[in-house]
Amino acid sequence: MKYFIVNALLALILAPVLFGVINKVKAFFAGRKGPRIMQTWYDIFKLLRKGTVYSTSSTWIFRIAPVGTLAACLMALLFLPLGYAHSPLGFQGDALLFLYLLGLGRMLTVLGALDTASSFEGMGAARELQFSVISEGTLLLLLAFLAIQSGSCELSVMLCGRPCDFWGASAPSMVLSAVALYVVLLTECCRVPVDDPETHLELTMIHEAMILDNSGPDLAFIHYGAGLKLWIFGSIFAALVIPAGAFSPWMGTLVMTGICFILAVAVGITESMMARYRFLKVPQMLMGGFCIEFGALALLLLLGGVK
Amino acid sequence: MIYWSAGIAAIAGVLALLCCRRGNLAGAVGVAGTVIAAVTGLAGICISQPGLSALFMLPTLILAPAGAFHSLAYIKGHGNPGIYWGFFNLTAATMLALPLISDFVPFLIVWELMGIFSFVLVMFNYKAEELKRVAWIYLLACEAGGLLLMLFWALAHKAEGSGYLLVVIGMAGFGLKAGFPLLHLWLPEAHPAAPAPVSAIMSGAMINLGFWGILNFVFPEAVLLHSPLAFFGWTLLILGCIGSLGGIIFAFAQDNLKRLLAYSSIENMGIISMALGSVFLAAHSQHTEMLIFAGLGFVFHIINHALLKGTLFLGAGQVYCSTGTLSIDKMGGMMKKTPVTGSCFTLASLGISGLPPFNGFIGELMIYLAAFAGICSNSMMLRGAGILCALVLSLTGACAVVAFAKAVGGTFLGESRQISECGKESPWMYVPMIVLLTLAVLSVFAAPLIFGFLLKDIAVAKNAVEILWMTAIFSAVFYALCAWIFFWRRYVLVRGKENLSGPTWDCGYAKPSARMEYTGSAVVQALADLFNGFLRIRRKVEPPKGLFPEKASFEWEAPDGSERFFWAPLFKFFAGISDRVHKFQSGYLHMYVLIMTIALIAMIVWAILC
Repeated sequence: MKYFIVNALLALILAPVLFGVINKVKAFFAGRKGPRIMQTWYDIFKLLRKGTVYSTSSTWIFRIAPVGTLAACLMALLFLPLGYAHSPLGFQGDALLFLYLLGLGRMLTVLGALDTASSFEGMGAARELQFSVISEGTLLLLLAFLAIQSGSCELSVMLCGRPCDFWGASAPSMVLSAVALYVVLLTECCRVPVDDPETHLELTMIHEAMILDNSGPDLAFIHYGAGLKLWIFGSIFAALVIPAGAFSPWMGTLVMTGICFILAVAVGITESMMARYRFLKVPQMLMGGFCIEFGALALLLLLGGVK
Repeated sequence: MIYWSAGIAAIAGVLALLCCRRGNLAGAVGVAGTVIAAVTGLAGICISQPGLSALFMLPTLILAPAGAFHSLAYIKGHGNPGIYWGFFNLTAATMLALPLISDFVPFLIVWELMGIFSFVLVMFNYKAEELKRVAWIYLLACEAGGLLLMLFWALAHKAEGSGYLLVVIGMAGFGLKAGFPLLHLWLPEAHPAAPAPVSAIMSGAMINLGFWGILNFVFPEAVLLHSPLAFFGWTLLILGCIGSLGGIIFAFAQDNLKRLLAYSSIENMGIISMALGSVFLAAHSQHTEMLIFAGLGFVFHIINHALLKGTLFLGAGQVYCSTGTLSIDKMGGMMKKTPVTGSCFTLASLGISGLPPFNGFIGELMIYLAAFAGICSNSMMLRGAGILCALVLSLTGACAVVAFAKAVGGTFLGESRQISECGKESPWMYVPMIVLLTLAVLSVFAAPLIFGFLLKDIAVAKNAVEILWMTAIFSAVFYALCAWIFFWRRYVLVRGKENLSGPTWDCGYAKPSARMEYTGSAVVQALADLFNGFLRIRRKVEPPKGLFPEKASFEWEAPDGSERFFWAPLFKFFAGISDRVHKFQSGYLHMYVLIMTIALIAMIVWAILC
């Protein structure tokens, strides 16, 4: 419990810093200096001090959407075994709750976007909905994979309660799962090659296009929620690839935080090395991720490594 | 006492029919009938505790009064109110009676009556041209179901058991009501045409009864099969997978709001069927944990679907009364014109997409838990079933989000596209919605209490009740967290700051108009393209021509796949055969006498030879 609280606080503080790391890496590749590493935090504080501008087209949905999305992200984060410490909130089946909380956040963002009657936001919503169907299926397969390895469907046990030698027992399916999870991470966190958060053309964005009309504290909530989402997927990735139980609790904190930052660097490198795919290509990549995870699951069932 | 609820509804129905000349009186009798029947029924359930029958009576008991109040405003100015109220109550009476009948022959009679009574309700607006086709399809579906059930009964009483064929015929007969894939054809036709309260009752309560029939009559006949549990389990699971995924994919491609909801009912029946299939598979492998979870999922999903789909159909009814259309692409911005309806519809949409913290999630969670219990077990069969069930459920859930984001976004959010006049919402219509939605929201918290009490003697169910408690606590925390962030923003963050409102920022474009807004169809177009191999969307494109194009248009629709590629060709084939046989109907008496003579001689020869 004590460890979990420390880890949760760490996640809540460090999550927006990941964007700073990504941007620093991208700036390094472009030969620029780049924004400060704490820039997202500065932005959030700036936005929290501002008032709001609401469109006359919008209704209460638009006002509640950022709140609900942030709450969903926060709750989803707290069900994870942060820093390899079991979540005190966990119960059997919370993995599905986690999956559906991400879905709730998505639905609220989409409804908020449609509420503004803007054509660009509608466009972003349409793309988000299309991609989410495939990435949600991939994530479910990953959960099934973890359930088979751990024999449970409580998220903390699924990620941290697996036998330590799972790399030895089922290395090929582990590699495939990690690749598939990375694809899901890029999709869910709206990064290149699925989505480019930093273009100057609204036509080419997904997530940023959906929040064009948000302002002030609402925008701060959305930015913070996006940071939390990156941390969520980073911690899942860390717990997936590195077995728990190999180190002391504080070491676990260090390892998980470290992996989250390494992933941010990896995302930065990915973004520097490739351009965003055409939108018609993205579903192909996502289907690829889905098939890879399906392959991982099939390999696990056929080759063993099952508890 | 429990039998009285059906009786009261029936008496009220007959009374309402008798006073069909006086609309107001018929309305009063009709509403009073459903309310008294509901109170009696609920009291009867509490006293006599009829078990599974109660589960199938509850949706009717809740939806019938809600629909009745809604009808008061809905049918004003349409048709003959006496006929409507009479058949409304009679339909409710048959639906209440069905779960209480344990003999097949009376059951079949009441079942047929239910079909005919509801047919009158579906046909209530009989002057509309498009209703002719709908009426045919609905009547055909009802009668085909009845015929199959008679055949089922006849075969069941043959000396030797006919095995699988018998079970398949029985399942098809009841599946016609429950909207199993391929047999679902009448749902997307009848629901948009029927009055909204009737759709609500039919979708939330009537189609469930198909499962009652399967459990109560088909299953006992199957005991002679080789391994009836596994057979039942796999059949229901696979039918459910096809139904739920196919249903929701067709749902998001629809432009008609009630048609979308009808396809969503097919999806939900699919999910219920998957839960029931998991129950049978778990029973076959004697996996108690999975059995409990799947059983609870079955129970929850029936109740949740009834509450939420009731709200949604009643909301669609209000929208139709206000605007006179059901086309999602023509609407938009209804939230500002009908705020209560819009809010109820939005929350119910979140619920039926299975999202937490609403009640739709608990049902899906239980089915997922059953699937994961299967995945974690040692049996390869359960593992396969679990992975299939969980994967289909998650894809269905993701597609449901799309379908209902479209329904809510296209209808209620944004700016109005083509609706110039919009009537006000009537309290008769929205109060029942609020009641249903409140029940739906509160059921998350009531579930652990009720099931903790019902299952207190069953040791293995303790785990499930604990999970129900955890989800209830989670929901409370989630609501509290949302409220805290909301009020923090409202009273701390933006207090005293400059809070403005203005037009939507459209990226520098000077005059954005509602015509530039993304329509419901546009929102789902990308995903519909992805599934086009299955949907086979029909497009009508008139591209802009020349240097100064004047007119361009684009239309698309997704007509039912089973009709286009299965039923229509099948009926065409039989029509072809009938045309050929038609030659014998020459109209000359001596030809008929000749044919009969030949037939007689042939029979005599056959009798002598054998």
